[in-house]
Amino acid sequence: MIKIDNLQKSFDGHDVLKGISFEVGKGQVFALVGGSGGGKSVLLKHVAGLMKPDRGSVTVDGKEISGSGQKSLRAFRERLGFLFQGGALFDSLNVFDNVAFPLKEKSKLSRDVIREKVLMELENVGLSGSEHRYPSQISGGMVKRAALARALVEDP
Amino acid sequence: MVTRKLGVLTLEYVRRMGAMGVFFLKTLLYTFAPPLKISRCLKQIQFIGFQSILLIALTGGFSGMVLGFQGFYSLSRFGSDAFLGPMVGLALIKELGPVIAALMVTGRAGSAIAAEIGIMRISEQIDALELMGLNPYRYLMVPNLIAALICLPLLTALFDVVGIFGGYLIGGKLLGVGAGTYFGEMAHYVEMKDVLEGIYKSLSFGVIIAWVSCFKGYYSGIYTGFGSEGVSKATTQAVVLSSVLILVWDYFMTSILF
Repeated sequence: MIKIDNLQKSFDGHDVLKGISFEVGKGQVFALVGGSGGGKSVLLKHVAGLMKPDRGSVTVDGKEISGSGQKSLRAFRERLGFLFQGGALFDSLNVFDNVAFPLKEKSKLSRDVIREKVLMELENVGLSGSEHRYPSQISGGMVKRAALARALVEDP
Repeated sequence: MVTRKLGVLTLEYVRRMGAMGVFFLKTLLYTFAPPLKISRCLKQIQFIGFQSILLIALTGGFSGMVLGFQGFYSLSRFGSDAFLGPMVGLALIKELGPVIAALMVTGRAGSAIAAEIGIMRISEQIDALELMGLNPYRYLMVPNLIAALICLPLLTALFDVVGIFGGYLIGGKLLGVGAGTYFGEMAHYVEMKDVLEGIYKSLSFGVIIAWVSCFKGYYSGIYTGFGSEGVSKATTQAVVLSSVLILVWDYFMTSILF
């Protein structure tokens, strides 16, 4: 369960989040809708622990994320799938290596298993055949789909 | 009102200096905490070191040639042109080699490191690394620090050697100082402690280049503004601050090792 309590954040005196509070239950599908520049991405970054709130707290499964140390934050992120607005693919790696990156760096899976998992994820997002292309060589939509494959490849 | 603004500005600069200090300590901590990303280190050694060889050889050669001319002109006034070799050697090994090599690496590699990390910051690639539970220091800062520590002394040594031969080309071949005199006197007057002084300096300059460039890139979205303008400012600041720190630190090191 995700619990946001009185979350406040401002940048250079400009209030972006003004006391946001809500809860998302286990298994619940939750959509956050709002105008451009309304603070949706900022809110999600607080949930992922990428930003610290000025006030308020973010709690996931009873553990407070906003005040967590690096170690517990890393353990929480292991279970998290996060798709960035711009994809955030590593531009020095091709599509295959981007999707394989978290598995290569964190898991003890063999190269063959990693290859199989990555190719399956790429097929799921309709990117079969594009694995050797670099982010700069594919369209914005394809970048997002590759980023989705990377977010899902670890089975968050 | 002016006092208040001055206070705010001072606090901001103190905060940034503190952030720079913490950044350096974290980088140092992860340098000694395994695992080391060896492939990233090798890639950065290739980038900082191997790709700078031509630039260093070229600037070293011409610096030595200028020293050959100026040294011969000054020393011949006192009838001491036989000491051209030690003069060129000591000037290059103790001072010019480490400093000019470091400034060249700052301009070529330091700027690129700041720009690369800055672009990774604004395009959320660093956030992506963190969300994967991976440590950006281990992937981005530590390899640059290790590569700079390995490459700077080697590049400085190359600068010195090419510079010494550049000095000989002018002094020996053009102005008539014999090879025996040039190199013989140099071997007599240049001591191991002079060589070590140059190595210590180049090692500390390597730390400065990696530290400042990585810091400016890493915090480019926060301290210099977002977008391409922010990265551009971060890159400029990385080069300027590294260059100034190299010259200031050189003074302190010279006064300690003198």
